[in-house]
Amino acid sequence: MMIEIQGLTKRFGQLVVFENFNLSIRKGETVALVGPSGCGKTTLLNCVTGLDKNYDGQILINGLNSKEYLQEKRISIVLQRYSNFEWQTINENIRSAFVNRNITSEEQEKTINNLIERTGLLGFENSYINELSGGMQQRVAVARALAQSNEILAFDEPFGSLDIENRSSLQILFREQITKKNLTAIFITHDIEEAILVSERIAILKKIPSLVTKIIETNNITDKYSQEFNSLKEEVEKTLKL
Amino acid sequence: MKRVNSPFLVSSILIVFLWVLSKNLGWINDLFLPTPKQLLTAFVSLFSEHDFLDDIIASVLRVFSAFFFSAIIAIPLALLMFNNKTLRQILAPYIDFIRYLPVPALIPLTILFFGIGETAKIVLLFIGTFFQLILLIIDDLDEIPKEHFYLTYSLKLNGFQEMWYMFRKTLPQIYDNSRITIGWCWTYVIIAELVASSSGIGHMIKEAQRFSNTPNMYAGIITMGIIGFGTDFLFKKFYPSFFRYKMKAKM
Ligand SMILES: Nc1ncnc2c1ncn2[C@@H]1O[C@H](COP(=O)(O)OP(=O)(O)OP(=O)(O)O)[C@@H](O)[C@H]1O
Ligand SMILES: [Mg+2]
Repeated sequence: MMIEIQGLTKRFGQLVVFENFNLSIRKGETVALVGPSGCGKTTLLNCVTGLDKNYDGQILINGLNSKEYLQEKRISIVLQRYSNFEWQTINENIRSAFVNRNITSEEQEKTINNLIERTGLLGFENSYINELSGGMQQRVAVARALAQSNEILAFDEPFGSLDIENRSSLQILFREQITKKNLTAIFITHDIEEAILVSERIAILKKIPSLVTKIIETNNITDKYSQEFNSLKEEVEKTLKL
Repeated sequence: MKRVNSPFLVSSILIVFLWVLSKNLGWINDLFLPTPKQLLTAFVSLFSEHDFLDDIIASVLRVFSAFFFSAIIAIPLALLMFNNKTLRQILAPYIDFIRYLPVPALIPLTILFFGIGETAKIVLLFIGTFFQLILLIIDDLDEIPKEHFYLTYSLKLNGFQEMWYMFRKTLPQIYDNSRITIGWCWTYVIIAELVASSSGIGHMIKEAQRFSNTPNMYAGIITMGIIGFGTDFLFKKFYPSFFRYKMKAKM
């Protein structure tokens, strides 16, 4: 297991978001988290990434206590409210992923150029964040996260503000990187089709105190028009309504 | 197109008109307000006969060297205090205490320690600006949104690089605060020069006072105003070139 959340209990004052919550994620697997707004998806992600250290229970990453793991390694994060370094150009923003990473500048250049092209940011390499649309800024954040050679990705509605076309090409890019590098990911989304497309398993959360009501295997379907895809989608929708 | 501040233009013409009128009608004694001609003559003689330019340079150098020393110590120290709770808990009360001391009250002490030379003045200005500046910078750092730390968190930055990113994040605010702090520095330099100095704009004004030379006093005051206004103007003017990334692309 790459990530093991065991008996997680998380409170904000009186509000109990998680009570004895469990979830395990295998290496090389992407788990999509879906659930109603306010059910604790972002909170869960923050606990896993260590952005929020104020919880009870245990989170193991690669067999280590997450605090130990995070001393040496990093988790690539794309936030719901994406953000970038506004004083850096697009190119520099992506390049910041390589700081202290021992990657040759040649290789850095190659990765950056490839990601810029794949995220549709070609021609904006030297623009500043302020000069981009919201969706483009989000793509920069995604590109930077993918450029980091971390074995775990934590994405919180990363494609939320993108149009259908960009969304779909980033989903493909995401899948490609995950398989190629055998990465493990938690992927929060409100879009059920996206959840099916990007993940191996979908964890459906219900209102707080949140539990995983159901875990659905997606069997890596890529054909949106297949019968299988449709029945999966219906199953997720049905579970969400319960 | 450059927009002209026409209300200002009208009011300044009005002020000059009132000035000339009041002098011509003899409303105000020359002792209190010189005529435009007297003022102009004062400027000419100050520059040509009394090395006023040296005074100006002396004051400017004091302000900028004191500010320079303040900034190069205040910026790193603020970053360290922001990142080290214990250091902050130790230093913050002292900084707050000194910050509330009126600078003029320290003049006798700085003279006692450093005489009336340049060092005394720069130390005084340093005290006047350093403690203000460091608090302003810590405030700026406190204002960094948590998203910034979420962002740097996933990078492999070392402690120094993290601070560098914080510095870059707050640089525009530090720049603005520098502008304000230099303004205070101007106040302090004149006070210091009025009390104990043998050069500088403040010293010139004091000399003018000794001889009841009203035009020179006005010339000194106006010069200070122009320099202060000019510094401010330059700071604002260069903001877009330093912080191009803050500007939206031109339509
Ligand atoms: N810092 C906080 N302080 C207090 N309550 C919080 C805090 N952060 C989140 N909450 C509460 O915890 C619950 C879960 O919030 P969270 O942001 O994890 O939801 P979410 O599933 O990510 O929702 P969305 O889909 O809208 O992003 C909400 O009820 C929210 O009000
Ligand atoms: Mg959320």
